[in-house]
Amino acid sequence: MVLAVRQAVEKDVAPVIHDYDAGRRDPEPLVARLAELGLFGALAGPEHGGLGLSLATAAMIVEEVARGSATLGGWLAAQLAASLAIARHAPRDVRERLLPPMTRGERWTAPIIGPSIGARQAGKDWVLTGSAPVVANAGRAKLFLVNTALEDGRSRCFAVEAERAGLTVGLASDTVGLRGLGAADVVLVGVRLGTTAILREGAETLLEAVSSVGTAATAVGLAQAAFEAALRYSQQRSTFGQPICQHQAIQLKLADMATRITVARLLTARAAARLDVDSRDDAGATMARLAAGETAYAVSLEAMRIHGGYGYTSEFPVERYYRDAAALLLGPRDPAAERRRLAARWLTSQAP
Amino acid sequence: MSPGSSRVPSLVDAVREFVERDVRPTASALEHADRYPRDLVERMARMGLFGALVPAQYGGLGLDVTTYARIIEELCRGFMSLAGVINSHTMAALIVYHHGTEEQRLRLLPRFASGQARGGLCLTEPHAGSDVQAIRTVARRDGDHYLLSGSKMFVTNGREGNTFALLALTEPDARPRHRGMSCFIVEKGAPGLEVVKSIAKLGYKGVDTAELVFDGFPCPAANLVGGVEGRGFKHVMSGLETGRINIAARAVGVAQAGLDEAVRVARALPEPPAALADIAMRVESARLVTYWAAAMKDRGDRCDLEAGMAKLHASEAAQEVAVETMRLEGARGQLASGLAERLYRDAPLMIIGEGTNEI
Repeated sequence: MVLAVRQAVEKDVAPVIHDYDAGRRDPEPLVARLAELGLFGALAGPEHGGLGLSLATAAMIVEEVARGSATLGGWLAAQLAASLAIARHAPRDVRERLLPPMTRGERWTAPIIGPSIGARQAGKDWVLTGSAPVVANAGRAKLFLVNTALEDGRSRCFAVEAERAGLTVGLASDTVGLRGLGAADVVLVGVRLGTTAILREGAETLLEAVSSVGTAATAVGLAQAAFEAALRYSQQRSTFGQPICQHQAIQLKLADMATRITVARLLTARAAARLDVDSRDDAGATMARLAAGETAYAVSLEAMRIHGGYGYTSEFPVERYYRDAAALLLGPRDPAAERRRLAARWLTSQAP
Repeated sequence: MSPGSSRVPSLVDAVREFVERDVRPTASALEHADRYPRDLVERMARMGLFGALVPAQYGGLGLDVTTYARIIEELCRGFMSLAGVINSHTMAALIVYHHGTEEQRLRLLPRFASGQARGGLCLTEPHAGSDVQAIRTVARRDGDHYLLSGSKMFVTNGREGNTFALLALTEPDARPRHRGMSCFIVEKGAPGLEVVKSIAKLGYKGVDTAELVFDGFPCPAANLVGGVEGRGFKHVMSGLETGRINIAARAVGVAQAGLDEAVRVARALPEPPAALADIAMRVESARLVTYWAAAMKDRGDRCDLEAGMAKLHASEAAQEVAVETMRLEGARGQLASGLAERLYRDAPLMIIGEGTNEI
C-alpha cells in the first residue's frame, strides 16, 4: 500500500506540484487522486468504507504523500485525525453518518486543537466560545472537531457543524507555506450544542495525538524530499573542479540531514505504534511532532545552503520546502508551552 | 570626535526616521507584490545614499564603512530589499574608485553618487557562483571596443539598473585563469544586452534580481577598469571585505527587526518568554562583531577574516532570530500579513549571498 502511494505520488503529484504551488492553484484535483486511492479512509474500518489500516501504516502513507506535497500531506493528516477520533469515540449513529463520506473525501473535517476555546455548561446544553488561528482546511470543512477547555480545567472534544450559529470561518489566510490548504481563522461566539455533540472522553487526547503524528509524518516526508533534492543537486553541481558532493563540508551536511530524518521518522513510527495499542498513550506524539517539525525546518534550510543561490529561487523545490517547513514548525500551541507540557509528564512521573 | 563626525549620526538618524515614517508602513505591500520600490529609492537617492562611500571630491558623501554599515542596518530594519538597491551599486562604484583611472573616476563616480548611474555587479554565472574563477563570459577586443559575450546570473538591479561592473575573460587561455580576467563598467544602451528574465525568489522581493545575457555587446575600451587587462579578479576580490561587512550589517538589521517584533508579541503574553533574551543576545553579538570588522576596515587594516566572521556570525544570528520570532508567534507566525514570515524568507539570503557560509 505504501509503495503504491509512493508510485502514485511520483506519477501524479510530483510533476505538477510546482505549478500548483507557484500559481496558488486549488489542489483539489490532486486531492481527488488521493481519494481515488482510498487514502482518506485509511483509518476507518471496512464497515464505513475505509481501509482499516493501523496508524503506523497511515503515518507512512502521509509521509509518502508529503514527500510529493506537504500541502496534501497536511490535508490527509487532518482528515485522518478527525476520522480516527470519530471512529473510536463517537456514538454509533454519528459514526455511520459521518465516516462514509469522510472516507470518500467528500466531507472535510478540520480538527481544532488550539487551547483557547472554552466550553461551559448551560442547562443541558454546552456553550463554546473562543477562537483558533490558521486552522487547516477551515474554508472547506463541513465539520469541526473542537478541543475545548472546560471550566474545571479538563478538556473535551465537540463535533461542531460548520453552519452552526455562532461559528464563523474567516477568509482564507495567505500563509508562507502549505499553500492551497485553505487555512483560516475560526471564531466561536456562544455556539450552543446539545450533549450529542460531545465526543466520549478520550477523543480530545486522541484527536490531538493523531494530529501530531500526522504533522510529524508530513514533516518527515518534507524533510525526506528536501534531502533527496540536496543529494541530487550535490551530484550535479560542480565547483572548484569537482561535484560538490565530493566536498567534505557537503558530505557532513548530508550525513547529519539523513540522521535527523531517520530519528524523526522513528519517533513518528513509535508514537503511531503506541497509539495503535492505547489511545491515551500520547506523549510520544508530542515528541515526534516537535522533533519532526524542527527537522523539516533544519533539513530544508540545509538543502537550501547546499543549493546556494539557486536554492533561494523559486526555480528549485527547496524554496517551497523551506516555506512549507515553517507551517510544520508552528504547532497549535507555542512550542515552549508544548515542551513544558511534555516536561510536566516526567514531573508527575508518567513515563514518556 | 573629528569635525566631520557630528553630521554622521544625524544621517543615520535621518535614515532611521525615513525608515520609521516611510518604509515600515509600505514595505509589506511592496514586498508581497514584488514591486520595485521606486518612490523609496528616489528618496534614498535624494539623501545621497547612492554615493555613501564615494568620496566628496567625486560627488559622494564620503562616509566611513562603520557609518555605511549603520545605514544599511537601519534600512534593513524596515525592508531588507532597500539595502540591495544601494549595496551592489556601491560595490560597483568602489571598484571604479579604487581601481579606475582618474579619467574614469571623474567621468563615472559623480553619476554613481547622484544615482543617475544605478546598478550593480555582474559576476556570478549560471555555472559559477562561489567559484568565481570558473566564469566563461568573454571580452574580445575590437578596435576601441570590447565585445562581451556570456551570461550573468543573479544580477541585483539587473532590470532597473543601467550601469554594472562586469567580470569577463580577456584572455580565456591564461593560466592561472584569474590572470586572464578583466573588469569593465558596462552601461546599458547598445544592442547585444538582454535582460532575459527576472528571477523569482523566496524573499528579497521588490529589488529585481535578473539574468543578463550579453551577445557581442560593445563596451568602450575606455571602460576597462584601470585601463589594463588581467587585473579584474583582483579588483572584484578587493571589494569582498566591504561586501561581507555590508551583508553582516543587513543581517543585523533583519535581526533587529526580529527583536522589535518579538518584543511586540511578548508584550501581549502573561510573562516575558525566555526566548526574548536569546534573541536580544544574538542581535547584540551580531552588531558587535559587525561594527568591529567595520572599524578595522576604517582603520585601513586588512580584515578579510574579520569581515568573514562578521558575515558568518551575523547571518546565522539573523536566521536564528527570524525563526525564533516566528516560533514565538505560534501559528500566526506563518501569516503573510505579519512580519515574522517575511524575516523568515529574507534571512537565508545573508547565509547564501556574498559567498555562501559553507565556503
